[in-house]
Amino acid sequence: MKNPLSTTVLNVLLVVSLALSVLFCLQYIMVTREARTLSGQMAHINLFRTTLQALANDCLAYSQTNPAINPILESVGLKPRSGGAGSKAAENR
Amino acid sequence: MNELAPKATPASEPAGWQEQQARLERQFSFLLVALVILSGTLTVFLWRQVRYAKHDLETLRPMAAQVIQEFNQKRPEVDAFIARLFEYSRAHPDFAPIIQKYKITPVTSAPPASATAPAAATPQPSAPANRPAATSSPPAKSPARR
Repeated sequence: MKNPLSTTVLNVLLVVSLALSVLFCLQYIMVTREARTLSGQMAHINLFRTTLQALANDCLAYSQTNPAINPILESVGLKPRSGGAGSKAAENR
Repeated sequence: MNELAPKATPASEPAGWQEQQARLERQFSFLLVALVILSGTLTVFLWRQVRYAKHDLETLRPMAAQVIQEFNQKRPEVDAFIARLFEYSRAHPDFAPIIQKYKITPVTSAPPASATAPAAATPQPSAPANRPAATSSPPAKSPARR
């Protein structure tokens, strides 16, 4: 090389750049992994909510023909409580 | 010994080597500069990606913490509701197909394996709706709180 100083500077720049690249790459992997975990948990919870809502809707439809399930639905507020001793007992719970 | 002795070279050869060496040096310098530029570009790109990913994570984290906290708070109530539905389905077999449709398992007392394993306390994304109530997680073990 005509100018060894420029080569040294370029080599130093290259090493620094490569080190930073590795550092950012590792950071990116960690951050995206955490984001993916959180997204997965949120998706799971939302899916669970949807499933539970569908189950509640089916229970409500079932309660039209079988009122015996009403106390269970009333206890979680899916159905308005009807008057009577049964509802009072449920309210006490 | 005479065979090993350097042969007489024409006068033009040293000049050719020097020219080749200079050409190689120029090429090496050019490639080194190109490599530095390429590496710098990659570094800047990764830096920006990390910034964007961190920003996204900071946006997602409070939302996820809130959702998971709400889920963990309501979980005992939901588990109790499902358990009561299962009790009801035992007494009323005509209700069994409805609850079987959702493949929900009733909540029993927490098994020792799930109590010790920290992963069991978090909802598993792999099998989301199949067994939502199978693992009972204490609300304090929210995975979003770090």
